[in-house]
Amino acid sequence: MCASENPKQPRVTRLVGQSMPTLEAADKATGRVEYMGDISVPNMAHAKIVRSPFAHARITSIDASAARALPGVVCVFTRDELLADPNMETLYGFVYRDVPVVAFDKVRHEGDIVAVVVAETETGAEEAAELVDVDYEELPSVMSVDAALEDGAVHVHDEFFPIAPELRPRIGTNICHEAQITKGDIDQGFAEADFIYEDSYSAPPVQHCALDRHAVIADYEGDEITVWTNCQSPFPLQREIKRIFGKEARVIVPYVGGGFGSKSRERIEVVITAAAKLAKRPVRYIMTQEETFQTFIRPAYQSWIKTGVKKDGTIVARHHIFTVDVGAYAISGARSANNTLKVATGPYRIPNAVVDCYAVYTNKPPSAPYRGLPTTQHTMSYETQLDRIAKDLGIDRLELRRLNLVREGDIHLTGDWLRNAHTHECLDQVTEAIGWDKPLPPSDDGKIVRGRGVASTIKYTLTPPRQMSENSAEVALGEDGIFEARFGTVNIGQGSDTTMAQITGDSIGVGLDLLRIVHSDTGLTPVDSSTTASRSTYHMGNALVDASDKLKQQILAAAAPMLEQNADKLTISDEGISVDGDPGNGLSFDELVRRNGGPFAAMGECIVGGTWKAPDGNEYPIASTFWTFASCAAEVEVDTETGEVRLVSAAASATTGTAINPRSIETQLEGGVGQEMGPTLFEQMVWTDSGQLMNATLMDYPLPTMQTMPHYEPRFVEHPFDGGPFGAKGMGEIGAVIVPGAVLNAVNDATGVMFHEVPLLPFKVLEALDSHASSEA
Amino acid sequence: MRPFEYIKPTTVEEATAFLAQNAEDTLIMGGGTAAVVLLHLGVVRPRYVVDLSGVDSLRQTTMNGSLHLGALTSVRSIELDAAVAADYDLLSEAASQVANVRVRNAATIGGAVAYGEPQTDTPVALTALDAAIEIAGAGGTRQVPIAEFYRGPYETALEQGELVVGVRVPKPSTNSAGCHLKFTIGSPENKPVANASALITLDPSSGKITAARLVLGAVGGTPVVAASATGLIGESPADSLFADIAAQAANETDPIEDLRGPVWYKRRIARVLVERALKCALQKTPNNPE
Amino acid sequence: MNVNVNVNGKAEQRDVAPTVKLLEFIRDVLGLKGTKEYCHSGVCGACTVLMGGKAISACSTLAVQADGHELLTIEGLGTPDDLHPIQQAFVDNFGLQCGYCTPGMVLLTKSLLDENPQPTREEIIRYMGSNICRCTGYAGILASVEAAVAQQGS
Repeated sequence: MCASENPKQPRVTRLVGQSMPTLEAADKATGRVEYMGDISVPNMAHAKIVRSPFAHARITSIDASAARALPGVVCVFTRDELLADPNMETLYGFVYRDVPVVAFDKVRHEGDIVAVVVAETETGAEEAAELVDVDYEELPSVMSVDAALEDGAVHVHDEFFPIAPELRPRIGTNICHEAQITKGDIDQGFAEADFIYEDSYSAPPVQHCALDRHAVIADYEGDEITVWTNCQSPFPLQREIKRIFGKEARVIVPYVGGGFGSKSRERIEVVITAAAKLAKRPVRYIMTQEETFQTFIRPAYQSWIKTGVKKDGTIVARHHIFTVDVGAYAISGARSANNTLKVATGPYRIPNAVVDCYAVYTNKPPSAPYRGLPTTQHTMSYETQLDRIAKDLGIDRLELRRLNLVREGDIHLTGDWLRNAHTHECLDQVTEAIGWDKPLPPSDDGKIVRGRGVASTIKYTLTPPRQMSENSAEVALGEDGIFEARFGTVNIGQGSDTTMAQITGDSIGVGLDLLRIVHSDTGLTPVDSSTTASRSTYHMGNALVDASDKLKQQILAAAAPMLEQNADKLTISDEGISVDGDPGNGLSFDELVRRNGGPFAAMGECIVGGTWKAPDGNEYPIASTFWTFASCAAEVEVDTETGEVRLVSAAASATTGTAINPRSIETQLEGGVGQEMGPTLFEQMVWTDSGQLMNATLMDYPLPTMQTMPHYEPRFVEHPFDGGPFGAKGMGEIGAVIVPGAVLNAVNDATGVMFHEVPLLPFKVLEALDSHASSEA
Repeated sequence: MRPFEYIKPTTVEEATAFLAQNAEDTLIMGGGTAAVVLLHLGVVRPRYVVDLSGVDSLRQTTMNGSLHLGALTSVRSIELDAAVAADYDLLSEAASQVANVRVRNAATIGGAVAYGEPQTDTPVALTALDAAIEIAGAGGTRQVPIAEFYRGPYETALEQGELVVGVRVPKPSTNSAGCHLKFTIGSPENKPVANASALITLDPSSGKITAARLVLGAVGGTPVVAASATGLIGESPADSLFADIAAQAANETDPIEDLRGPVWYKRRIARVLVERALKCALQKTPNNPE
Repeated sequence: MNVNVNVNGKAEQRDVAPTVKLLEFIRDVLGLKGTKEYCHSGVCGACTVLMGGKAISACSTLAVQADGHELLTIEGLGTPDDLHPIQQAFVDNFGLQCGYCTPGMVLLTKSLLDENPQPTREEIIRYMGSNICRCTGYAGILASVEAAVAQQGS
């Protein structure tokens, strides 16, 4: 089971609870850290990908002869080479096996992978790529969920290959997954309601814009395939490569310059490995920023939400239907829909509810999770509607929430008994931090209006359907007397190495100087499912606590006879192993290892899933190992002459459990809010009707800068969570999840206009303000 | 990037002599902030790239009754020059708003002017200031008033083989003040929806406006000189006057719909910017009767 | 073409094609990987280096343009055991998370403080707004720059 506090041996914390800079901060500040783009291997060739200019087209011919003839070109990998190799599987994908290693008969999105050109230099590969002659027969494309769902719409995929057991495709359509979750009886619930409200909401695709572009080096030669990549899930990738190529594989992930979900799954690793196999030497591929926009994007979202309330504001029924625009390949889109069913109704007591999801193929690039997944858009939907309800019923917006927010021990939509559900405390923290009761600064000329809004949310973490371990960790003590923690969590900038070091150090009882971290290398670190869904602190932290406990037992058991003491009379400290009450008597760590005749190592696990026994003695399901609750209070300024919305101030709080590194938690909230304000206010990807992206570069895709930064008030609610490492949960995503709901509510407060879509581009805002003014007149 | 031959002349004569033979196949570069990106994207594939940064004579800035900027003067140095800020404040204000500081460090005024991008800030301010563009070719030099210099998007009065060697700005009257504003979506470093320069001269005794220039950028193929500015002349400054003139000026624009907004919106922003720029300029006028 | 450039205090000379961008020159020809790349269009600032003390985008500069100039890359500023005060400020004030924008941000900060040793908060925000960070929301970066200013002033 996951480690929890052992009352017989309460843990002393020296590192846990400290706000400390990351272990690698000095290396990063001096440019010493290697990211994928900085890694070279001997005899490395360079690849460029030939991509489809069309959203949907049949490939009638590919002629790579001119490319192959160019001096310096090593090889060109196309469907011909793929189909000629009997030892290579042709499809991959881990939820749906729907991605061809390289396009066969057709391409399904602008940027789809048609060929890989390998050359001695990057410039050479670029030149050769231009010589690959591809003939296309353009097909009608479906560039939106609405278009994809129309009768007679063209099919993005003619066959479905679902491999994840929860998938329910609707064969003969573009629906690759539909599912429903229910609680109570919504017909009854709506019948009992005094008032019923219906609203729809939408959000377009955006891109994560991590500065570190997707990159891979693949080396097929040798006993095992070696792949260096900045993918956030090295172990699933390793399994896919083994399956496709029928050969052992090792995946190594260095420090990653931002993921945010855009690197959560594979897209280029398999095809570059195939090119490396053909080339018979290592091949490196780094995509351009424009190509990242054709690789993974946040899915477009639509929702219809119907809520029934009593006149006192009690919510009695909810029906929420949402669609997720999966894009051309369901690499993660179907899961984005399915996994967020359980949070769609929000952190509220709703006795009767139905949530329906549809994950739909279109000819947009494949979707990937974007920090929080559709939880963010769900929150925007239900929180915005709640403010509308509050206004209509004449109930204070905060009071309406306090009336309905869940409390400890409430039963969620999924049947889970909710733990660590400090929703009221979160809301109170943010409203206090933003100065909710203070008057807004007056508008000197009436042209700038100001307002405040809140949003609250509930977020899940990835949880298996039955009890099992999804990750392990190893802690070893070597000849140099240093403890080495080995774990698969990818360092994407979220401070994971440091969090794990703090947990491991305090679990063993030693300081940072005696610790070393080895991360994300399938050849050196034990298995981990992924670095996603805010799961790592909890899951890997627990595995490290478990491994540390086992290692300590081993070490003390070995030291006991050496020191002629019982193990329970020995203490571990920075100096080594000492005998209680006998300061001169002890062993240093390196001496212990030497006398042991070799290093010590212990494997730990984090077992999750199954059921949970509540204080009432009953067993409850575990749809999420832990739930994170959060609130945001936002203050905005709207320039009524230009329509510009500025985020002035944002307070955010989350139930983090124990804060392993308090300042690090605050920076995750600042980062999440700072990132999501972009899609809320001005970021969106825009396509032509025929499927060409209009804003593929930063010159036309505005990102937040320090000049658009709000004043941040990060907070957290720290009640230890039983089951978490030192009581910790996870919260990497949550800062983003709460932003659009809070901002839309603040804009409504400022202007009287409730928006139902993001981004709040100034021309959209101005248009709405103009209509609102004329309808009021 | 496709191969090209790199030419680095040290004098204007050397440059123009080369261009006389090869202008059609040549990309001229000042700081490179636009040129290198165009080369990288493959938008242009010239046979020759002429880097003017070796022509030291183009670096000189002089101020004797008028401001003379050598074409290689960086946008950043214009931004930071205290003397320019004192007497040609509209120009330094516009320079300070160009893109981001890294671009301003490298970009040259010659490049900014010659490139002819409809949305850049410095050409708009220079138009309001009635600047003249100094052009050199193999046949000699000539000056073109900036109002005649821009012909269309990326299309200027430069003939093949010619290059911009300087910008001459007449000194605005001591009773005048200017303001340059731009409106962007998101951060100020982004491409603008519109920008506007307002330059007004106030008679200190009557308090009336004796001269006015209103120029708008990013809302037409070239900087739009608003004829409606004449409606300000002889009038006392007033909010209602400014509002009227701004509305008229907006109607003189010819924006295109794009990612930054529809046509009606860009006209609206043009109106708002003109109104705000006029108010801002008024506040800066010396002995402002307000 | 011959490019003579003083990089981090050391004279370097290389022969490169004029098509080689300064970014490629620094990273691939000189092997200094600390300068990063993302947008290749002068927007993001990941490739910020100081040429003649001024912050520029190495992606929008040809290597030949650096001939005869002084370049400062992140490698020229400090080492993990001997951090430059600006780097120390970034470490101490959570001015970085993934670290990818950090070399550019640190050098941009240096150019700011070299030009203006005591900038106001507004001046800092206006100047540092030039470079993009995706992780921090900029709060930690602002705190780091202000700490560096304070340290310089003391």
